[in-house]
Amino acid sequence: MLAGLVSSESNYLGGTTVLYDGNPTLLNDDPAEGQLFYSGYILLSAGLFLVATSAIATALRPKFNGVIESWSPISFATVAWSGLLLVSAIAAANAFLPSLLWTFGLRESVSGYTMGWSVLFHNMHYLPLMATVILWYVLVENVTGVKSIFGQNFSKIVFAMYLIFVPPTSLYHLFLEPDLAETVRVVGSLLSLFIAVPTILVFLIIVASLECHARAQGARGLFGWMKSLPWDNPAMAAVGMATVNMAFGGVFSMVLIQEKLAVLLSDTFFVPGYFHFFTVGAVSLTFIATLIYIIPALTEHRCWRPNILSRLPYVLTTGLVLFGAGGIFAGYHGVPRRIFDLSYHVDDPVEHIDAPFVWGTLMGVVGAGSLLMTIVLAIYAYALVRMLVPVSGEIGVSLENLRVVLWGGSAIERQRAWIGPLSVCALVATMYFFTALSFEILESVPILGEVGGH
Amino acid sequence: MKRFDALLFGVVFVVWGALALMYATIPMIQMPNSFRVWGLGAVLFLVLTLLTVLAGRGRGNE
Repeated sequence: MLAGLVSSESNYLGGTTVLYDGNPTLLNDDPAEGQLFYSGYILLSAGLFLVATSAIATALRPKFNGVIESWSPISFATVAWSGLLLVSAIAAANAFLPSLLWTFGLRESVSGYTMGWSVLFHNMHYLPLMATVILWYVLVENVTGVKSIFGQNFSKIVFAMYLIFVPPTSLYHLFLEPDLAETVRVVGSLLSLFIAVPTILVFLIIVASLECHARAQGARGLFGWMKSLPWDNPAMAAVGMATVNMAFGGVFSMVLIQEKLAVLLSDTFFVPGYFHFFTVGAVSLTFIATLIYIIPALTEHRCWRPNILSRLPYVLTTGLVLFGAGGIFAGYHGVPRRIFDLSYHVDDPVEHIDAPFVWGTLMGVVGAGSLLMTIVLAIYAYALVRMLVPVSGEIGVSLENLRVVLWGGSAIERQRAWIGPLSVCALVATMYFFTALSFEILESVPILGEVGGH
Repeated sequence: MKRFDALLFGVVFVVWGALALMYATIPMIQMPNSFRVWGLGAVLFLVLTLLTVLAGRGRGNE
């Protein structure tokens, strides 16, 4: 994988024109320019294949040896995730091997590249998402001791559902293809709604299990039980905010993958606006929370200043809300993405374009959010390095002294658990509201287009 | 259930296999190339299913 990374990145030193998606049509003038790039991607996919194979072999071994009869939900989910990684490695080979052979003159030019890339791109969305949700499951059990009240098999069914729903939902990546049949667009829009089902179910399992256990410990009130969770633990705070950010991202992703809206919004700043809720707010935050546990466990160092680390997720989420709100509304107003000149100013002999005033205001909000996020991530990076490297006079708390609650194994009897279902109802209502709002706003696109000079 | 893990991977194999067949044979979906990925994926989950069944018969489980 390292060789693949070096090979693909070193290609850029030669000034090649191919982009991260490896579209070979950009190399028509000189195919040999892409040799290192595609070699790198193929090496990377081979590395991913081997990593996933070793993970599956590790999980199978105790079964073969008769140590266990059945996997825990986390082991099962890890094997399922590794299976998806294996398929993604195959998808990468399917997308890039023909181009690699073409750059070495071993075959004719490549056709059907977009389809191969779309399948790989689809898997690349759900690998980190599924990994994040598995880690929520692990971290929550670590800081509360709570296992699913619905039983192990139900959790396994939910994790298997990721694999059931991933392939048929890939159609929405093709919405920008002009010759896609209308029936397929409609079916693709409907299928795309199912992709959120497993994530919502895992959220329900975790929240309902926590609420029942908290109430069994004497917690009261519709929201009051949440106060008994160990929010001073950096992992708990991070997982809590990661679920909130995942919900924000989920709402707007459902807006974007409707086929009528996808065409209008896909090339605007709407996409970075909503996607950072997933990438930074859910995935990165969860992985950082996991590292906060893993690094001290491996190094036997202390957890650096948990009182600071447990507050960072809230600051990060504030930054994300600024970035996301600014970016999404900028997208509605037609601010493009994939552009280097943030003045959006065009001044050449043929045409003169000044961006609408509101673009600058909204992108200023995006900038403020970015600044907050950058500061938080820099502090996290510093903390992780401090936990990794031995420093004299260590500051912090040993891992076993981080605040946790021990609710595991306690009898919970019959309890109410309303927050999970209510959250899902609120999520669906918000999706509906923003989808309707998006249609309303985008009806004015031609007028905004004239104002913007596009 | 002892073979529940294998059963779930078996379901994934069936679904992926059916989708690969659909992508390969229905031109309107316009996903002719993707059947290779999902088809190989189906084979992979079939192998995983069989391995999980075999592993369930491990030395200590007999």
